Amino acid sequence: MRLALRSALWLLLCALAACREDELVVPTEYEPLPGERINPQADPQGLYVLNEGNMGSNKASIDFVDFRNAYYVRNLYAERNPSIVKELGDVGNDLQIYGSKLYAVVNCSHKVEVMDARSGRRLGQVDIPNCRYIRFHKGQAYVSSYVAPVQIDPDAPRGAVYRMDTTSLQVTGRVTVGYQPEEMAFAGDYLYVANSGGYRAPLYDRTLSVVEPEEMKQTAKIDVAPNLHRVRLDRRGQLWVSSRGDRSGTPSRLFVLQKEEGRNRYAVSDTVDVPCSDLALRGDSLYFISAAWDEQTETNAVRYGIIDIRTHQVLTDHFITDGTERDIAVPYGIALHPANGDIYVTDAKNYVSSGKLHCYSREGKLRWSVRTGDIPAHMVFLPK
Amino acid sequence: MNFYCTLLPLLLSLLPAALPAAAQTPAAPRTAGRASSPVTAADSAVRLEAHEVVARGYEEVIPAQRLSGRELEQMNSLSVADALRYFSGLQIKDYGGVAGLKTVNIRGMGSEQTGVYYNGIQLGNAQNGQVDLGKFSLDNIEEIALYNGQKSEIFQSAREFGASGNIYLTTRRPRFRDGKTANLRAALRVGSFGLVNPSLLYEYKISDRISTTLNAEWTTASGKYKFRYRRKTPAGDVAYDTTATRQNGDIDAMRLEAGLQGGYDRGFWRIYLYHYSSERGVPGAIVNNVWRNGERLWDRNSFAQATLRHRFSRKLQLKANLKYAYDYTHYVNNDEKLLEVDNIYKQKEIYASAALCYDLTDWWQASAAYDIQWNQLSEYADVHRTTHWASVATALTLPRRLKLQASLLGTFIDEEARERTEPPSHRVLTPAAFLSWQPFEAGLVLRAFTKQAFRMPTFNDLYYTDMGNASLRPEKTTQYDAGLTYTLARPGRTLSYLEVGAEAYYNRVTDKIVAYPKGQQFRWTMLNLGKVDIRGIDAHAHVAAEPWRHWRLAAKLQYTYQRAIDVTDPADTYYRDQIPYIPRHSGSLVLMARWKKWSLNYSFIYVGERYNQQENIQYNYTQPWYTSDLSLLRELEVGRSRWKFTVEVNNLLSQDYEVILNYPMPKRNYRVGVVVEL
Repeated sequence: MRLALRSALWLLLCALAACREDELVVPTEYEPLPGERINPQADPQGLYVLNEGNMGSNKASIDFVDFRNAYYVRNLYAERNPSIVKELGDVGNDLQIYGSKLYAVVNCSHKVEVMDARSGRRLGQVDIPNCRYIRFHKGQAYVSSYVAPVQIDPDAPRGAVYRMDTTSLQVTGRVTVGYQPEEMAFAGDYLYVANSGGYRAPLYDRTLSVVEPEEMKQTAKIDVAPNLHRVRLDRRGQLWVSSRGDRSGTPSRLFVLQKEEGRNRYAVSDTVDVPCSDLALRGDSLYFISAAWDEQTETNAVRYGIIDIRTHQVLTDHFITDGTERDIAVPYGIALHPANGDIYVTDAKNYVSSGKLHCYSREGKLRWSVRTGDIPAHMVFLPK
Repeated sequence: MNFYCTLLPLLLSLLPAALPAAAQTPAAPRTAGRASSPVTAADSAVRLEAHEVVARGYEEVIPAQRLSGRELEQMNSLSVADALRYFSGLQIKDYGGVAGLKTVNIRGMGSEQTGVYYNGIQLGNAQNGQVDLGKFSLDNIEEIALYNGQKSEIFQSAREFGASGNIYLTTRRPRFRDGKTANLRAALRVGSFGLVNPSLLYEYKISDRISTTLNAEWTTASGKYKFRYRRKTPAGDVAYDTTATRQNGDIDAMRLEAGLQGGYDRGFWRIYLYHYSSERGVPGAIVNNVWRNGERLWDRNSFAQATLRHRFSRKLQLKANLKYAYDYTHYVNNDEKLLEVDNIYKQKEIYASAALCYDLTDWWQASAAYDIQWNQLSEYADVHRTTHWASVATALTLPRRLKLQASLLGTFIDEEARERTEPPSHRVLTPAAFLSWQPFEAGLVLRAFTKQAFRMPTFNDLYYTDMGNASLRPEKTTQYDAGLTYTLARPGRTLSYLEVGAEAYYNRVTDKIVAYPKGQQFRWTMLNLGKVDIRGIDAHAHVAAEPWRHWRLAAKLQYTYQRAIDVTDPADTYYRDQIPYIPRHSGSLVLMARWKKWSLNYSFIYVGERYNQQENIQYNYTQPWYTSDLSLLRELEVGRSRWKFTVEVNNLLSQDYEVILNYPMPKRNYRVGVVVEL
């Protein structure tokens, strides 16, 4: 009896000692950047990092590398916007700055979050279903979405590009494109949209949609390869398009599209035989990272390469030169410092724990590493 | 980008299809194999009815935790999952509401390592290895028993030696009073969120030895419950405070069961049919800007099972089981923002088992069993798996006070799957040893066991390669357990019953496979979490007193401490962190008072702080939760009919809590019920 009583008391004490408390707004953490010095003149002044967060966890978050104060600011959205119910949202998918505004595309919250780029304070939100990426042109934002407004054929819903005004934050138009569109790029006055068809595996989409942005009309489709993902314009007018390949043998590849002689039309002009998860351009260099799953060895084949955009030759497979790439489990995102050429690579690890952001000098030596949120993926520099 | 994220819908992966399996063993004899004639069934049934806190004395080598009879009726429980919350060493994952998925995890080893038996035969789910215990109604359940390790009895099917922990659900056995040939029981429960739950049970005595049971139950609920999210700033101001209504959590389920059983001079047989069909909404995670989901789920789980128990001679007995199960799941995603999905999954299972037990001497038995099972899954993958289990076991009872048991199980798996050059085939031997010792004539019992177990990755684990799970390995557990109990039964005295006990255990899980909810409820990420090291203590105390005439008071206290840490790789940021959703402290307290025909029951459940992901950092912290439930029961006898009325209040203090991140639980809610037996 006494024993029973004692254990009852014990439980009671435990319970009392471990009661629920008021839940506080998700706090921001500040951490000095190891080995970095304060630089009040830094330009760009910082780097925003969008952590995707695992689906259903509602843990999309924004971190900031403060170059001026040499600090890493982790998870700043909730503290700067405490009144937003359930914070930033579920699965961040793109992060961009246009003018004075910071745009976060939050895929599973079906919205584009618009913030002041300096303070991170919310200015508004634009609801766009299943939104993926955002690009800008002449004061308008263009957002790719897996969902077209009307599903004519429920078995094959096409995707769309939504246009929204960056001042009024209103949707001003939309156009149906291919299946499950991903990244977009402007070249001249046309928008090129990479269609993936990821929902239709193994019948992936293979095309790049060409959209005329004033009328919001799809004017052409360019056949490239199955399951397209990235599309970027380099400074020589070439489009770089990545294909994720399919599961039945077509490997992930990088394609170069150039304008056909005497015509205002892009066509595939070259293929670079490298898989590509993400890429970044600086000068005449294209940096790419890839983690391609090998079914046979059941390991990730990882590459950190540089391509010369003039010759389309792979210059190196190891832009990290000090051997520290061994510490990266899954390279997921890449960005290049526009001024000093520092290389930023994110590591998504196992997708359900904190990732890492690594900074390398342009010579490929590790400068510092810092813990991020879950699945750090998208980065954008904050200009002076 | 997270391509999978939006792409996954196909998965339905961990579909909690409760693959009802099972046949019927007559009430498990509680002695080690000896003297287990069919009469035992009836005996134990009577015993169950007679006592609320059952004193089992020194019969089992490792005793089970049980809930039965009146205790079970009073516990504010709608489903088996609700009742299991009162067991120690066990965590329920509850996605909320009547329709929400509810799975159970014994001693931190994971829900797939748990065997659930319905009338003696295992409920399986080759697709995801999980049994949704929310689907099993308590309406016709007479007893729930939880065994750590295994049922410590050697006369059982080979497969029963396989799981790391076992839950036995036993349906009500027909009992006919004073010359009656038929029993009729009708029940109706109504409650919050549109719950309407009528059921009917009919038992008929065909002859002295043969009887039949028919049981039907319908459950419907809108599932529209209020929930609240509230945050404060560090300064103490309210940052946000929002209350919303859970959407798409409705359910409409029908359950039909029929049994035919009989005894004969040398044995007992039973044929049992089960059918469950439901339509439900899948409420999904509540995330920013998303307050409802469009997923729907239709389930049909059916099985037929047969059991025979035969005594060839005074020394040799046979137990045979047969089962056929068919499961159909239809999953649709209607959310216009997401990919439209419309998938059908079908699973079949055929199972046969034979066990022999032989008494070598009065104090020494040996048994051997062989089981075979064939599983098939169609739709996303066309896979067959044939599993053979073969076991040998022996039990020694030395001069009443020392009992020893040892068993060895061989598992042999052949798999055929498309798109795999080398399907995983495995042969594994797993031993177990049990010991108990009663040093004095009565009261104190010391016990210990060790056991190895193993489970195959499920079909989902293996073949949903899109989820990045192709390299999964089988998962193994090793358990060490030692404990003691002290029992004092003093019928007729003020303090009529006292039991206290504690067990300490150390489990190691290697190559542990963990499912993380990923988006919609049935989409997950599978991970080989690697190695987990679990140290725990389960403690309990039961007290019953009869202080005054017509009064009976009882209290049950359970407490569990678990330190379950990830010890996979020192380089991981979560090395030696507590694994997700396992609290260090949890427990329950139940207080019961009875006065004449009135009973009042109060129960308190506490689950301590947990982390919702691997790293124990503030961003993954999940608050403790604790709920108080109250129920009042009144019995009446009118002529030959017996009536029971109940009123229940659940979550009395209306705590806003989550068991699983982003799956809010209901606030305070009510139920009333009436049962009549003729």
